[in-house]
Amino acid sequence: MTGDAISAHGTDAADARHKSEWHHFTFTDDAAGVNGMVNLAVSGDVRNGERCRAAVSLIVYEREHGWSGTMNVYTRDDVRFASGQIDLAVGENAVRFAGGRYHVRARLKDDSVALDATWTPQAEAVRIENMGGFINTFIVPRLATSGEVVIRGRRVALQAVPGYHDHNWGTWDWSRDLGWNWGYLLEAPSSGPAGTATSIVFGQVTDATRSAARTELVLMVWRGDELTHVFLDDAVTLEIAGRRAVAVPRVPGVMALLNPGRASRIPERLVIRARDGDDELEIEYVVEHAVQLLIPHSTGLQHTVVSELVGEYRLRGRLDGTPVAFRCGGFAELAGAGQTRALPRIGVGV
Amino acid sequence: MSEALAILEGEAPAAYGTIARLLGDYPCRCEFAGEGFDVRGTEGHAEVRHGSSGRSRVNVATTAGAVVRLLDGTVMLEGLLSTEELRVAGDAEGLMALATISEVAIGGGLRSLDMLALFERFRAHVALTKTPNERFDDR
Repeated sequence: MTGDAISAHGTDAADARHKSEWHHFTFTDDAAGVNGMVNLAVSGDVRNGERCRAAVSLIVYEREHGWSGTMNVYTRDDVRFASGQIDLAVGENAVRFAGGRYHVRARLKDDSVALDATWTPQAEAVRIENMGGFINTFIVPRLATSGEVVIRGRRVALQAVPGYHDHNWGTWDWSRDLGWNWGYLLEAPSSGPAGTATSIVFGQVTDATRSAARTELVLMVWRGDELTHVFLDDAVTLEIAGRRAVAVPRVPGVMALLNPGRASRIPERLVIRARDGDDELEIEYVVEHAVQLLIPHSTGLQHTVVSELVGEYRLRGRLDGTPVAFRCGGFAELAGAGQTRALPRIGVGV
Repeated sequence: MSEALAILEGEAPAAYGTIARLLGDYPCRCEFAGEGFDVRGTEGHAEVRHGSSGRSRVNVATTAGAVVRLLDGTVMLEGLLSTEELRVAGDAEGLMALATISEVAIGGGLRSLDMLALFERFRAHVALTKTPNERFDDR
């Protein structure tokens, strides 16, 4: 897959400490009511085992059973990759590109969730470098996901369901530099003429407080396999509204224990509006549930919270003079630095 | 527990010192996997003593499987408390001290490779003692 490759690791130790890189895959099976994500991540200095960690997140949301899965932490010794190649292995978990598709195998350490599936690209990829001066991304907006996921012994077959992939890398200080808003919509292939299903990805990089934009908000549209429209800057707006009162699992548990009962705010909906000439889109994302991934910063107890939202996208609008409207399930993410708890502490620093 | 404290003493001495001091004032009684022991602080050291001194300010009872699931994040603290897989009792100051000890211990061990290795050995031990069905059923 041209453009998707594990990045080079330089010799600057200070930079290497702040390096992060991950492969991220999701799938959405609206008919079965199952959404899943798998993420293999490596952060820190890969030449120094003390300063390098890896993590595998495998999380599934089932309409009928709720959330399953978590994030497992690994050490440098468990990581295998080669710069310039796509393939990445962390423990028994692996992303491998062969025969024109991504082969992804993941299994949580407690065996509660396991996944063995392929993601076959169905639309052209985009690679955007140096966003905000520090983060790079490679996005395949639409793939066909086939294989199986096993959740506490229950086997769910995935038969060419809509999938998504991105690969992100760069060097930044999680405590200061990075937050984001991101999401994607994948129209069901069967809802329009063959090969013309619409795929949409939107996103924006912010600072860690989420109050300052580091990039413009962008919304990209693919019709079939081709990137056809890009809405940028004033042409697109994102509104994050309301507050969803849902129980939010927070993983890994060891990080959640640092802030018991303090889930970050989960919105009720996102509204994205894009307009450029006669092309216009209005997307409402109704949040149904959320899980939060807690990523520790390189020092101290601070962490970044990645809120993985699952819900329903409702799109309507007009592109190239043609009405477009569909609904689909999917993920969205909101990320930024988390807050530590404000409870009184006894005996510290006495 | 003893190994975890030893790792903290070597890798996070400030955290270890805070924990030892708190355990000196608020000794803790643990009922864990069918075994009972006290954790207390004496002269700047945290120690695990089998048997009961009868001086504990806090009592904690849980199972090995619950600890693994809690640290993994496949169950949340409030979930364990609501099902009484984790039971915590004590006076208000003792409970506050326990919360602080937990936070300081996690912070001290968060980036420790030895602590991660200890947890993985513990996970393997727990897995060996359960059948696959038990591992899914005990959620």
